[in-house]
Amino acid sequence: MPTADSQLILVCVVVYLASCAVVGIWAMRRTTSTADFFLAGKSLGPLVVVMATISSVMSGFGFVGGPGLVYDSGISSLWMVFVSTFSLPVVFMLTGKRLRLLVEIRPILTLPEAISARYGGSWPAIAMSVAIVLGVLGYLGTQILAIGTVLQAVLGIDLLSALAIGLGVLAFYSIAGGIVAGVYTDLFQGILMLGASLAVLFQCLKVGGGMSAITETLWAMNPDYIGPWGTRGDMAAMSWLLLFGIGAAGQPHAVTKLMMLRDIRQLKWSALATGMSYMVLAMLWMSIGLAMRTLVVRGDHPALDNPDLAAPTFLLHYTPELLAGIVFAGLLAAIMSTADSFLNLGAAAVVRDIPTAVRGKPLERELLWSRVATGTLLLVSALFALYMENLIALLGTFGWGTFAAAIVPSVCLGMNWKRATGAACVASIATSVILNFVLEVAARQGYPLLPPGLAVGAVALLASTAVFVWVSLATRRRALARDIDALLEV
Amino acid sequence: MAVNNSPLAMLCAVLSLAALVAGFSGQAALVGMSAVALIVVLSAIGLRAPGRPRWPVLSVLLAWGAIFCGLLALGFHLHDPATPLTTFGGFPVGTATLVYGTTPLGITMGVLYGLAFERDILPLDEQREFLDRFASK
Repeated sequence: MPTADSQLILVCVVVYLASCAVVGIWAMRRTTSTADFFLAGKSLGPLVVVMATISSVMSGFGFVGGPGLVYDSGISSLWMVFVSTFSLPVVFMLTGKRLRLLVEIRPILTLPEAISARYGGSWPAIAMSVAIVLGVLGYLGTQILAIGTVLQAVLGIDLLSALAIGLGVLAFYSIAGGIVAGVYTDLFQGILMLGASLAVLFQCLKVGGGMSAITETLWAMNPDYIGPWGTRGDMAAMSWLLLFGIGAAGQPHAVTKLMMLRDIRQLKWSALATGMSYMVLAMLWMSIGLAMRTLVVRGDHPALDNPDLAAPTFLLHYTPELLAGIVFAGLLAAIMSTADSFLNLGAAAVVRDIPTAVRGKPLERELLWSRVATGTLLLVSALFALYMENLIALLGTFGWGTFAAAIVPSVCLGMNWKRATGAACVASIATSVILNFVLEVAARQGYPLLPPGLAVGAVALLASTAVFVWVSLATRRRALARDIDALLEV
Repeated sequence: MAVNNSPLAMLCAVLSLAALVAGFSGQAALVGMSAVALIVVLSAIGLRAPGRPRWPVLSVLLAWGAIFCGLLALGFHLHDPATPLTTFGGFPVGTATLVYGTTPLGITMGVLYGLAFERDILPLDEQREFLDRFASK
């Protein structure tokens, strides 16, 4: 990654890190129970929920990997983001009402607990917890590496020192303030990035000479690049439409945010606000990739060694310093926001979900152990990221697809269909984990089992959905508790 | 009146299998249209509630799916790398269907959720009745 020599960029990043620490101290005073630590005491307003949802979904991938994908393969990767205008409202349609009502009638703080209440028995909750822990480890590892890389570039220091600073701040506010600290840093970051994304869009159009000029340059290079499917082709575009259009409803860091709303009626317009806000953030994703490729094709900038350098290179060379500083701070914030959401989910699985599923009750002194688990998970993921990079890359790739294929059937369908059974829930989660792992490992070893362009996660999502429905129809359903039965009727 | 989403859940399974077959046969357009159909069916499942006529919401969802599939088909039809560049709004015409067609269409899903919330998704009296019966005291 190119190094930022600008003092202004440095100031923006340092101010951001300091503000995270301040929010951490403030949130620590508000966090007095596990309900506060994992679910922000169900006290969040719609603006905070909307910003926290888009910030955690966007992640570092959106600001680094996204522009890199556009730089590399043109319009293809837009099929991951433009779908957010409807995929995020679909999250609300499928899960918002019933999950939020569920936390009113049962002492539920996590998704596996919701699963346990819905299906009964311990296996569905254990299966969901395992899928979450696996996905969390992968996502966390990739976010941790990204934190180190960005700070290395901004501060001009070695990776280990950069990681020590970044993870120190992340550990402080996520251990002290739990999800409360996470969502309020997301609020700050989200508002900042919405403005910055629009500013970057206009800067890209200015540098490229307008959209028509950019299109003419890129069409002359390769018409498919700027065509509706990009250079990865129509199959990749359509399978991303499927995976990201439906799979958003299976992302636990998005779904659990809906359980934190203060008032269920605030769901009403939050769906629209979430979809549109994410779309605005995605302008940065699209515009930087296209503008950077245009500059390279015209010979105004040398070709990049690595597509992921598209965003940092454009920001450092073609945007005003203050804007670059804000976006760099926002980039760091996006990465840390996703990391803190996953730390919280992972800690909940370790301290609450698995013990409750296995022995019928959570650990004693749960808040203390939640903080210990958060710190331990961070440390383990950092060690994985530093010393088991291949495993992290694999788990990072498999994260979205696994969550989508595990959670869409068991939670989204299961919370809306009385005939769904616990056996089907376990079978669909197992299908998701196994298919994602096997197909991904085979592809990485040079034995692709799927036709070119067909996404692994999309295949796993389709297979786990079919398995869920057929196993539900083939197995006997437990009698539902009276409140759950009524919940599925609302 | 009980909610019975079994027919829609089975439709999800059938559409999933259809999309898998289309994917393994290399039929990208069919994968896309199956995906849109799945999104419509899942949304219909999410918006179903007992005791209220659902045809307004369901017809909007069906129209949404039909327009989306039409735009996808238009994208396939309009994109031809062998022809000279024709643009609309700064993008090649095929890409413009994505940028100026499917993106705003997607937004209508959030609008639908907001408009249907009070009447179809969670009427206030139903929420109160449910919470009165079951909410933790």
